[in-house]
Amino acid sequence: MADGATSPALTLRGVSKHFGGVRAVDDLSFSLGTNEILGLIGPNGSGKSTTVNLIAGVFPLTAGAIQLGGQAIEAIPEYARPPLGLARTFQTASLFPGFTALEQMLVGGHVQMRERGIGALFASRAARAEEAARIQDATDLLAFVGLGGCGATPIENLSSAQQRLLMIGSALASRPRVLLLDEPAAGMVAAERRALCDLILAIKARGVSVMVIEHHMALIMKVCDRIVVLNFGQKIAEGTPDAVRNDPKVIDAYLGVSH
Amino acid sequence: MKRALVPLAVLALLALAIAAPQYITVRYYVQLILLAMIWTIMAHGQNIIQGMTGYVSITQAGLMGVGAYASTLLSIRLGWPVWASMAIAPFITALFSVFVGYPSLRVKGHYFAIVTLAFNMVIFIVLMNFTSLTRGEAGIFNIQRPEPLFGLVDFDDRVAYYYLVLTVAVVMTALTWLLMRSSIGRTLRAIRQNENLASACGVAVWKYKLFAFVASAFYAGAAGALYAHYIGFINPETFGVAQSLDAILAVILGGTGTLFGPVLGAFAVVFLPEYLRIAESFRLIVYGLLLVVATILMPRGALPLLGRAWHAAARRLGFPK
Ligand SMILES: Nc1ncnc2c1ncn2[C@@H]1O[C@H](COP(=O)(O)OP(=O)(O)O)[C@@H](O)[C@H]1O
Ligand SMILES: [Mg+2]
Repeated sequence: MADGATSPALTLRGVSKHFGGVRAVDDLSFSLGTNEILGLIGPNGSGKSTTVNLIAGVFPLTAGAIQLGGQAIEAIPEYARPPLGLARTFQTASLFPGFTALEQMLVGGHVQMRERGIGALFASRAARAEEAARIQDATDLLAFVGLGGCGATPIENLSSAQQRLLMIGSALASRPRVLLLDEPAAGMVAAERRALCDLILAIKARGVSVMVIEHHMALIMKVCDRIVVLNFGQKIAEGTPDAVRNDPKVIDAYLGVSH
Repeated sequence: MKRALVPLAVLALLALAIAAPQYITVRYYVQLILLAMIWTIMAHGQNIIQGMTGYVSITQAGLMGVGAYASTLLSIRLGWPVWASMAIAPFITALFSVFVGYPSLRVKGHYFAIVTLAFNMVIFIVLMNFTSLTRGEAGIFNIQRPEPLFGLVDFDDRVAYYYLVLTVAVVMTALTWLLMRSSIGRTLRAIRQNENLASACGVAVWKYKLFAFVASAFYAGAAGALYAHYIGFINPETFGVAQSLDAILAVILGGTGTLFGPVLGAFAVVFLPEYLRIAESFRLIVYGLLLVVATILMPRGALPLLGRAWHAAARRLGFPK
């Protein structure tokens, strides 16, 4: 599994993104195996978040191709990718201010909604049944990410670590097959990071393929099956955690010391 | 306790509105309340796009004009029954809004406000200059009231028309309430709060924005038809940009994104100018000042402020919370 023997959940081939003169991502190719956890690491500004944004469809590619479960998605608009099984979180806290945790989860599960038209407006029997099912689903997921009992809490009253967990819960609410996490541990203390490790492993256990960007090497080394290392938008190394942490190029460009 | 009081307050308000024409002997005040209820419908529509979705549209009065002229022309030029003309007008208005909303809402950013402003200007210019159809600045006179209902209710009677407007205003308020509490309303609020995240959650943002704008146009069209067949005379002056700014003001003054804020705001923009007559020539300046002061003193509108005042009063009087 770790070597990508099964068909990949996500494949990038020759992907580039230029912002004016900046080559934020430069001829990048890698794949995320089915039910694999792939780490994406590298110095600040090496193109990690841009890679996530390209996969999610925030902006178009300059060159290259992206496949999700064998389907080319680079021409599909951003909002039409979550229904194909793709979900992501943002590096900076990104939630709906003024919403409760539960409401946040319900919008996160938007693509699961069938009743979106007149039925929803007039609260038809089907719409009410669906809303009840979605609320149940969201409540279960909140407990799963460690926010049990927080459904009615306004987002502003959650701690920053809880907001991070809610972002993950909200992404999971769409029932993705591929989940992209951009620095999920930002602003977390050691104990919270350890709980996050367990959560990421539990997400994998649910059959989701995960790509995670992080600066905390202990977390990356613990959860990842494989790691891709970026520098100046280019892939400089790829392999198992052990191989990557002893790679002189990686130590030179990013790690500084061997972890 | 407070939540439980809301339906009671609504019922009391409704009872007041029903009783008003029976007790208010000065016909002028009945007329003002009637116009304020038409403005309530306008403001509800404006609130859907501006308040719930977070996109300021500057053409609500222009769209009201589309509804007013559509209903008038259908009934006068084509000889349609007034009822049918009035019923179809909101749909014609909604159709118009699609042509403006579709191109301007597909792109992110602030084009929407500017495009809608331009649209209002175009509507005004067309109404002014397409004289063979609209009679331009001179306007159209002798617009009929709806035909008697079952040969019983005669709408030439101002009070009967008052109850027609009240009925439509209540129905539109109820529709807005349904929208707010539905999953569609939640999705619109999500777009207002974080459009990029909504998109990442798989929300086809532009479709929801277009829906909100078309809904706002539908409300404006209904208000326009009610207005035309009440006053009996329309000319382009009523449907200019200044009146669209009033609709924006009504939403902001009352309470952006709330259900009853726009009702409050609509009454404010109808009644305040009547009491500020002396300031007629300084209208825009007075309104500008009012807007600035209101935004500073009550950033979330009058409704939340009233709620707090009620709480304070209740505490003082020793009511349980
Ligand atoms: N929307 C954008 N417009 C212009 N430049 C951008 C944009 N997003 C990222 N960049 C640039 O691309 C490079 C990579 O950024 P990013 O992907 O955020 O790096 P990382 O996530 O690895 O820290 C940086 O030089 C950054 O300034
Ligand atoms: Mg980043």
